Amino acid sequence: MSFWPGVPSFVDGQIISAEGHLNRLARAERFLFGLAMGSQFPLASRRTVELYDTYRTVWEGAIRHRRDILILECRFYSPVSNQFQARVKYGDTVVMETAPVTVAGAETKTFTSDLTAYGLTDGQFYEVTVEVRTPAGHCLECYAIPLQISEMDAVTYPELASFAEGDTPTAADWNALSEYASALWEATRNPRPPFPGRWAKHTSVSTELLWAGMHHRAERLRYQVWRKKDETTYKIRIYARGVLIREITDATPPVYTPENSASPFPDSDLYYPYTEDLDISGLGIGVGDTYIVRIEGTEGENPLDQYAKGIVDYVYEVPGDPISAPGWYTLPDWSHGDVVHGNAGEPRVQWLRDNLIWLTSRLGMVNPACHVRYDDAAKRPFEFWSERRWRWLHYYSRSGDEPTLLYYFGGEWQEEPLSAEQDYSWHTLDLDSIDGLAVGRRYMIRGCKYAFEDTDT
Amino acid sequence: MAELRVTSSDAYTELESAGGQVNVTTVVAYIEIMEEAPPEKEARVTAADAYVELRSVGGQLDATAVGAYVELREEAALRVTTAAAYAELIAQPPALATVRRPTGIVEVKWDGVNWTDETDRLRAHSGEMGISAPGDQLVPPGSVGQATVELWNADGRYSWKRADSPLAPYIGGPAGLHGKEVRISMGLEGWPMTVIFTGVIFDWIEDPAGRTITLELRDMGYRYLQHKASTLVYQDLRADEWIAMLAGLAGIPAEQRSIDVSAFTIPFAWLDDEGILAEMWAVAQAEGGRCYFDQNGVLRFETATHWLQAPHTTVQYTLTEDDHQASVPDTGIDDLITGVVVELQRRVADQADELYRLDAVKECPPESQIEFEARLYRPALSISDLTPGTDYQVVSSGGMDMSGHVTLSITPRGQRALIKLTNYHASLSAYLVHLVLWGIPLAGGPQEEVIEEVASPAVPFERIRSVRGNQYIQTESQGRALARFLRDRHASLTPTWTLQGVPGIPELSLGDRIRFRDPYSTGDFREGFVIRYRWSADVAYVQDITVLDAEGLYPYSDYFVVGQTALGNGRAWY
Repeated sequence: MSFWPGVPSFVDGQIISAEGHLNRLARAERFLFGLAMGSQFPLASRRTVELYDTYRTVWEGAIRHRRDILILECRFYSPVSNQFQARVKYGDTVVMETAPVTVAGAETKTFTSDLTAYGLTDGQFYEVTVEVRTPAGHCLECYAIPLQISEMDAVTYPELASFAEGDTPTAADWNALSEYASALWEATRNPRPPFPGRWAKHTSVSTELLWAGMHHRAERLRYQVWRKKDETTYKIRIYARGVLIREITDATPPVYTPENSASPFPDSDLYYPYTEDLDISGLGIGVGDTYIVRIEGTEGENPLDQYAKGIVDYVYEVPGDPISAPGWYTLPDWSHGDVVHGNAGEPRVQWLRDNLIWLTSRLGMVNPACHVRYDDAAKRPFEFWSERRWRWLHYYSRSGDEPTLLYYFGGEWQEEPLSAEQDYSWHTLDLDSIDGLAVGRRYMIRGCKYAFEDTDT
Repeated sequence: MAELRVTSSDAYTELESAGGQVNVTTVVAYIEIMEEAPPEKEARVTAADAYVELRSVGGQLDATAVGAYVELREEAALRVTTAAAYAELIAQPPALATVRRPTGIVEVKWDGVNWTDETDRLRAHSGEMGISAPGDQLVPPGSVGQATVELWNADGRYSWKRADSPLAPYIGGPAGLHGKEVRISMGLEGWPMTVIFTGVIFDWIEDPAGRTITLELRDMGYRYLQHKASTLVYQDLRADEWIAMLAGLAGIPAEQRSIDVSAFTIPFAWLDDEGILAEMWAVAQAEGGRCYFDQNGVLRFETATHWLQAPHTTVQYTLTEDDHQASVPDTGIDDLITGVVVELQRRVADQADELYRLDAVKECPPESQIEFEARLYRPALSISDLTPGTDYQVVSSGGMDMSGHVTLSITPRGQRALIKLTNYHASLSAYLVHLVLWGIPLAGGPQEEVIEEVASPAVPFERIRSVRGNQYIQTESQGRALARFLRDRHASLTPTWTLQGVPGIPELSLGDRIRFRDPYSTGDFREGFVIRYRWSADVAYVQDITVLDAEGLYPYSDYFVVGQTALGNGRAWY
């Protein structure tokens, strides 16, 4: 179900309607505002240490091709000045190969590539690999972490009139507001990959649970992690932009919710759950900036335990409550007889204009890739997590995966078996057909290699 | 050149004091000298019934007392000229003439293409045109206008069974005269005529004794009344865009449409073998507007704000009490309400579902094609591609799989789908034994209502107006706008006035704003919009005009017009 209310059209000489024109535009903007203030998932990644002069895969996933410009944002590290070179493949087609860039220490680099020359099919799913090399030779400590792999279009917005009091906007001026809102909607209605949950490998002493690139738009970071009960010295630490914002120890009281209390996971009684919304507004992260979310676990007591010591279900941004959105004008409902004001008196149509500009920098207008699900067997099945937004779920699986969609509704976890075929293939599910899985409800997908929500089939 | 004019009693009073008064007994009127001396003299005739009398003798009268002719002239005034002046004037070409007489023209498209003038046989005509006020129940299509035309038929020209009639090739068919287009024009002799009615012959009555035939006419809406169509499901069309599309489906030429731009959008619009005009009327009703065919046969879609804009903001005709015999008020008491209920017919794209299942085997002979219309369970936004073996199965009578020898195509049409099965096999019939269509259906229906109540009701008991069953009120915003508009519109009485016996004004149109003096109920001038007029034209051309009072009809007069009003200087409509 889409709530997009559409936009009005204006014609010179027409009497303006509160409901048909002004309120409709206001509803469209409020809808976009809701998207801007909705949950934002990061690009899950991992740190690949030790690079060579030949390309090494540092990230695998998939993307649904929608836009013409590919963006790769990558964090490189070298203890000494070194060159890095990256390339991106859609299937077997190299769609980006960067020039070598020199890095000393840790630096984030952003690259773009025009995809129009590669004969890609709009709406088609492509497997994506990101490869990195250090042309100068083997580097033991060098690493690369993709923080953003997404597509976008160069959106051109119409010029907006000022809508000052006393001005006489033409129909073209009014329609520019509608066109602007439509352009925002078109640019933001992108496939939405879920978050691939993580766990600490049970045979490893690795402390890393997650590296992720997050486009900052909201002021809270929501997470849910699990810590093994008998690992009393094991700690989970959450960093945002390099700042430790939560440490979870044996002394930290677990946070049970109806959802995680009724956990459908096998062996969930071996773990404590922790979940909360962390305030990150004080970290000085600019809206639209990409920052790194890192979650790590300490070594723990029993590195050879067959069970994972720490598990990350999800981490994503959510707005605070109440929402803080300085610069956004809360739009009124215009009524019959209201004077149509510009920038004096109330209600003002200039708010409609200014809100569009505000939204331009707040909406996520990229088409992101989905990180591949880890194939490693573990005691606990591995899941994608998402919050329902669009109608159609596209997933990639095969029959042996026994793909399942799970969500907590009506006081218990619901299971919806998903169809699969013998070979890996893409499937489409109408999420409207699943009772209780309303927009905004969190759900998980088990047994799929990739998944996306989208606005259409 | 001497000229005499007929004016009001006010003029007479004014002139009386100046002397120079002549009583024109023949027309029960006064003629007054306006200029100093003959022959360059001008006079005016004043009399309430002068016009009536003139009308009874065909519009011309010899005012013997002054040796002048008195004639009907434009805009219902009378003009009197001397005999010499009249003779001189009628000899002038029309552009120079100042003396004119009302006359009518009746034309018929016997061949469906060309207008044939039948005026020579015209005896009389009468008729009426009427529309609803904004927000009122609409006058149904085909009932907006009707007229009768009486023609001489002594030679049987219009008798549909007369083989010797020159019209026999056109009216001798099984439908006779039914459906032939007719238009009636009125005007002043020698001057451009104005069409006062365009329609089609609905029925006819021959009077052998009187050697006449009377044609019963309906407005052009009648012609399209039975047109039905099925369409795809269209999304997010403005109401006027949908009406234009429907008009195209009905075959109404673009130049025969006048469609206001709507502020509202219809989320989902489609036809399923439904009457096109009825759908247009429903669209209009959904936003408090109206649809009708005007006197020129033009389809008009007018939004509720139509009369707020030019030319309806200025008075087009002023009628003094001498210009009508009586002004009869009507209160329309049934329209007074305390609240409004508008039913919403929401439509949403539902989850994918089965839309159709074949219930009887279809045979397609060798090297041939069959087609049939599948009626879907629900209107479909889309129909999924068919997979052989799963969604359909085509076999021979012996069970051989024929899928490699056939093609199956689907053309969606809203709540129907046209299925075409082509069998390329040279000798075997193909049997469609299984067919299931899947897709995205539309869901929704009358599940919500918008209720608006009058804050301070004018009546002490409840009177609720309900708008239900209109499938074009799909959004809450439109329902709310309509409910509030109707609430305000009917919170108090809006009188209508019927002005009787008005000298015919051919140019008068429905919706014209007129100013008239009501000497009895208010004793004052009033303004309003013409919502109905009746006319008769035999020896004279007279109208009864019904006017919706403009006072309080619209709460404000300073609405914000896109591209014209400065921000801060205009108000929003509903």
